[in-house]
Amino acid sequence: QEYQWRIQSNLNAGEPGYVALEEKFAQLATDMSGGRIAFEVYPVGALFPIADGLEAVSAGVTEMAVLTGGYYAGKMGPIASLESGVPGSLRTPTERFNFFYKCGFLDLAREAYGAQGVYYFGPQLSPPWDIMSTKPITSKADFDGLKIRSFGLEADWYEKMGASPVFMGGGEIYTALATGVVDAARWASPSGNMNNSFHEVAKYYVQPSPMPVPNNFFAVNQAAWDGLPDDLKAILNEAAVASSLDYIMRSMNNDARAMQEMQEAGVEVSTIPDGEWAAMEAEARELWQAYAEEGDLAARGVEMLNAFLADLGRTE
Amino acid sequence: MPDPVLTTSLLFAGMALFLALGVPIAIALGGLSIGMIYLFWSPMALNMVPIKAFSTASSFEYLAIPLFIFMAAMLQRARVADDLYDTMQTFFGGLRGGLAVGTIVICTLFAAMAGISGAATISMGMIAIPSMLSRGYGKDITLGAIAAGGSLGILIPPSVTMIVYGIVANTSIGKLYAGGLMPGLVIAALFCAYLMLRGWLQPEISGGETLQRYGWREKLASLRGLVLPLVLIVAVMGSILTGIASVSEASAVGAAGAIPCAVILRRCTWAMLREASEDTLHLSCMIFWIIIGATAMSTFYTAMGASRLIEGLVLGLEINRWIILIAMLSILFVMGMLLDTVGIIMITVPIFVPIVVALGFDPVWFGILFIIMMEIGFLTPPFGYNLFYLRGVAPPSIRMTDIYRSVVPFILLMLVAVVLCMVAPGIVMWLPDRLF
Amino acid sequence: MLDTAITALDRVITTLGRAVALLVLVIIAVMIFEMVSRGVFGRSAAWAGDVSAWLLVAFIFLGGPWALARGKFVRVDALHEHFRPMTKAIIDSTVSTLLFAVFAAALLKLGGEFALKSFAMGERSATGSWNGPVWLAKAMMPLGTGFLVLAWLLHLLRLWRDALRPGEAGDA
Ligand code: NA
Ligand code: NA
Repeated sequence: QEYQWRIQSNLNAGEPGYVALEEKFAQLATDMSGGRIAFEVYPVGALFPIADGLEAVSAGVTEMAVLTGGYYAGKMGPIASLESGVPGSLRTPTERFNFFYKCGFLDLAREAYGAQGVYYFGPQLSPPWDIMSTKPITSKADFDGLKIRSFGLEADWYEKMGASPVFMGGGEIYTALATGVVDAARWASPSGNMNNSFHEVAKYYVQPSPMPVPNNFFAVNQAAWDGLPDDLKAILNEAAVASSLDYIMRSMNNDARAMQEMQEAGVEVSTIPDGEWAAMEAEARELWQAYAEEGDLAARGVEMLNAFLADLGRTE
Repeated sequence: MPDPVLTTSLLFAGMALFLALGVPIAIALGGLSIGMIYLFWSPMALNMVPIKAFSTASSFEYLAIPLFIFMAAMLQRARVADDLYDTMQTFFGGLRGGLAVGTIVICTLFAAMAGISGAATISMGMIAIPSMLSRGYGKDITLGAIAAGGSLGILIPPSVTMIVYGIVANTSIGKLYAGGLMPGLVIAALFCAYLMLRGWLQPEISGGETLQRYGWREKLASLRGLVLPLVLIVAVMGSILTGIASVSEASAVGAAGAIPCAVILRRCTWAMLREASEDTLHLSCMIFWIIIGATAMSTFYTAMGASRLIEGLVLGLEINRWIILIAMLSILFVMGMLLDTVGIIMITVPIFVPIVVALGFDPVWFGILFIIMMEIGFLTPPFGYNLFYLRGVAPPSIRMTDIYRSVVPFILLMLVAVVLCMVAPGIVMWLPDRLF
Repeated sequence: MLDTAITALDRVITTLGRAVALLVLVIIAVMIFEMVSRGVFGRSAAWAGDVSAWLLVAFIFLGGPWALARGKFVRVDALHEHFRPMTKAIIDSTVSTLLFAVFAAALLKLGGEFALKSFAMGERSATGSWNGPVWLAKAMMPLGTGFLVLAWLLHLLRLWRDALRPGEAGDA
């Protein structure tokens, strides 16, 4: 083969998104290229911490990685949050897919990450990022005084509703929920939450999801990308789309199964009624609408999102 | 991809050579890794070294290391530690090896307060080495008991290592926590039994030939020495169990709590706070720079496709499932000689756990065997964290060879514990089966 | 000449180390403040986690030089203790210095670029709403490594003093 790339995933080996990356990106691209490019896939954190993933990929520690924009709001400003997805906006993976690929947000994301020395292939659509809690949450008022593990825009949102956001690394959340250091944690989708054993220590699964259609993204070292011939570039771009959709499909079944298993283990779904939820989402929208004031990229991002929501008939 | 056998041999040979020549450990690890990354990975990949160094030094979970060291430094300088050993002497003076047993008991309590292992080893090294040596205990007994006792931290909950394992292996963390408790106590009991046996056979290095017995009046009076350490332990554990503190924050409770302990004894001075801070700085830097070098090395090894080498070794075996299991444990033993725990988990767990499940073994049970193998890895040369940490706190009269020699029986005892858990899986599974 | 250089370097590194050592007291204070703020007042201090972690970075990188100069970077002394002062000086000036040089170079150059990049983009903490400057913490790494090079130099000068003038007591 002519090209041998290393990819660090944003997930642990065996998780649906990792398998989708291995089978529907790496293997597929190798097969489609007749073996001209091959990949070695590594689990999250194996080669570098995801928080400094932009630096690692732009410096060429690996040729490629799946990264999560939410970590980079401090480096790139709010465009990183808009890229990951903001609460109170899009609701389904199809909407999100269209937002990127049919409405031009992909080009904006490429421009933003290009400035960091990283070529942005495209989003890796993700199943929802949900809240699990040690007490029932059925209204906005239940957020008052809630110690909830979260960060970024979401932390500001929960704080606006009276909660006390606490930041802690993934390794501390389980024990913190068990002993009551935090009352709730916003982490992953049902299967991801179960993988972290949160159902053993937090018996309430909050619905609807605060982050129903977030995404990670495929990042490539700019020089590695520039070194590829056009046909391989096209193959990789298509493989990224295939892998992203494959992840969403796999997750649907896994999450449904995980949800049932967790309920059998005593987890209760704690639902916030529609009217209440709409009011909460309005609060979140105020926060990200304000991003329009924070620079050109963010302003264009907010404008694009508003236009798309109007297109969907969801403006107030 | 370079040949993993070649890179493995070069790493082993390089480590052995540089450590034997007496190159400072952190520098040997860092320099060797950088050379290997440059030659076998890519010059650009060297950027990984500062990125990982920064994330190590800014890791919230590792804050427990300097904080527990500060606690130990205060307790030692305020002579709380010495008072505690006086109390133990009064009670167990009639028992040869009694203080060594007491040290294991304190290590076990420490393990229940800390989520990582290094903090307990180095803190107990500061507290127990001078106290035991000055009361007629040999180097061998003293060092071995502390190095081995200090390794219990990752087996007895809370445990950061178990959380990493549980997430990577997709295994219940609650069950792992419950599963580690009994084996942890069994290992502690094995250590105690062994130390008492040594005491009976070799009284001259287990507190001396002449036994001192104390009356009940003296015993009662000496209980004072127990009060402050006990209050501190209750405060640290209580802060975790009541949810006031996260596991990392609990170390700050211990560190802050050590200051009033010194004040109550009227031994707290500004000079002492400063000296305790300086002890903390020296020992923390020693530990962190070793971790920074070791992380570079593990990451290099992971990137070089170590997983494929391991996969090849295990998947080729089509024999009895117990032999496959023993082969996996042996691989962990060998890797434990060279790499740090997180590196080993990243490389082996994604390969081993599916095999273990396919062979019909319980992943929680295997997880506990895995954690015990990691504890053994803290003690095995050439790369054994606890060996280096003890070197850092022990007085100059103690040589590295003393430390190496002292841990051998404890490594064997832990292997005995692994066999016990294999023969009687109930030791591991009894509690998780009851609780979950 | 040799002694003057040793004294001067020692003074710089010891002064820095003594000051940095006190940071552990600040870390304790910050963590206790956060616990009380969260437990008693129900408000988590957004800056506390970052600040305590960043102080740890300063503690380790700016304190490392003093630890190195004081001989706290442990070695496996099984063979080393039997070497004569001259042999020790030769080994540390060749093999150890080579290993040290590549390690320090990576942390100094690449760590420096890492910190500069953070400064250039005005990197802010992404963990909470307090927006602390991350570059400040990242800059501790190249800065501390710079002092670490001085500490290594100090160590070598002392080794050679001991090797060339046997009988005088070494201080580390
Ligand atoms: Na523990
Ligand atoms: Na080892």
